[in-house]
Amino acid sequence: MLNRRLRRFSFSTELGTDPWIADNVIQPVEVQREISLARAALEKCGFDLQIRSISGFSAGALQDLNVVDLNDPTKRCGNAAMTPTQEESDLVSIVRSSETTDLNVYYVRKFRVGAVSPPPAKNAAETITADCFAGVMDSAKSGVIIDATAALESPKYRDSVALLIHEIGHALLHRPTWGFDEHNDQSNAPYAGSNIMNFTVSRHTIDFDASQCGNIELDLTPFRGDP
Amino acid sequence: MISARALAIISGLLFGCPGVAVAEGEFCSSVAFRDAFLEGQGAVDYPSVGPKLLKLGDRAVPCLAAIARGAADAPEISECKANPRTCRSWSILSLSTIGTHKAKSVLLELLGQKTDPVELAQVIGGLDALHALEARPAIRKLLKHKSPYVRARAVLALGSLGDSRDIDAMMTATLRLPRSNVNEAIRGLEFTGDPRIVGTLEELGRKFTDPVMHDEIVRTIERIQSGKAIRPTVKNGG
Repeated sequence: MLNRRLRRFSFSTELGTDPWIADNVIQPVEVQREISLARAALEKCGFDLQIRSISGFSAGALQDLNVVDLNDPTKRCGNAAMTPTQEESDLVSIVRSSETTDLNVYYVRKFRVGAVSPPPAKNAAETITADCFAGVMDSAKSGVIIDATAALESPKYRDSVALLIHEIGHALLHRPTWGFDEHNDQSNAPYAGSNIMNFTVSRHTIDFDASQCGNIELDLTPFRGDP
Repeated sequence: MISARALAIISGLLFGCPGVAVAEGEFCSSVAFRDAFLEGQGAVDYPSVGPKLLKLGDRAVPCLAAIARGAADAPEISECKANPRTCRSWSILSLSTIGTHKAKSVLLELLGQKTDPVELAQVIGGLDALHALEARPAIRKLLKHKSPYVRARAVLALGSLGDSRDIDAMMTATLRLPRSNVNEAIRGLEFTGDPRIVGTLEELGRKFTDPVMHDEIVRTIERIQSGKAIRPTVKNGG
């Protein structure tokens, strides 16, 4: 699990992050790699990403997490039927940062939908925030969740290093003012090339563009769910 | 000189002529359909049907229907051989996203055919997304399905379809769900905005006493009682 922390300074904005890992499903050094990449990307937007700590926790049966089925046509961001599964709600409640403005990020062993694993949509990560999931309170129920098995899967392993910053991108971008799927640019064309929000994440997707950086800073608060 | 078969294929490709079975089969096996079908897959976290498939519209429907059914004559797409479930599932999402009358008709057929709980739930979701009121009787029957995953999805869909005659059956079904599935049904009940559901929610609160569930139930009751219930997203229908 990662936590998020936000502080405003006179000349820069600092984001604090603390990884939390369920039952040793991924090594801290791997999480550190993802955070280093995220830090470099956010630096270009004027944010300083800091790790609070890397911690483990016991997820029990939630290691194999029942996630929202993103091939269910109603499970789209902004749709009222887009609600976290009970297991997702349980997971983000086990351990959280004491700072309600922190972004909590959880690594679990694998995702499933019902008895189906990997999920039909083959999603390897998800970001639960109020601007996507109806009824979610960012201060208490938000979080990034990553399927560590998918992230570490060979031969895609080297490409998954950008997974965390891609999800942080979802957390930082403000969907209502962005206006489109966050994988698309302001003309609603899918991001390609090195953009972090390119839907096919790879080790080459390491850049935010100016409009993305601007959207993050729109209300001078990176995390829109800040209480 | 162009043969009659070639003409049929060309006209099918150009105009999507219904009833030109040969051309239809050829189209489903074409590179154009394959590329459109695969566009948008491979997303790490949020798959979206691509514009190519949406542009094909009804022309793609027979191909998607065959894949979704797992038919023997379904288009052969090499990417689907490794994981046929993913392609069936993607076809259901695609049909709902295309959302035409023809696509909705296929989803209605699938509702009576699918036995796999996850795929059946996806079909329910597809019809829910299209606000297919004609699916309501069949979805209501699924409140008694053996799988709690399907029953919870049915409660959510009925709440979205919004017929007050279903509320009693929805409440009964919700009370019989295991904890792992109940939150989706709670959202379905909330969609009705009906104050009668408060009693059911309170009963759930006595059954599931952990803090996470308690918090969800309390917040839902508060929204209902303050007239701020989360209401279903309005759809234009297919």
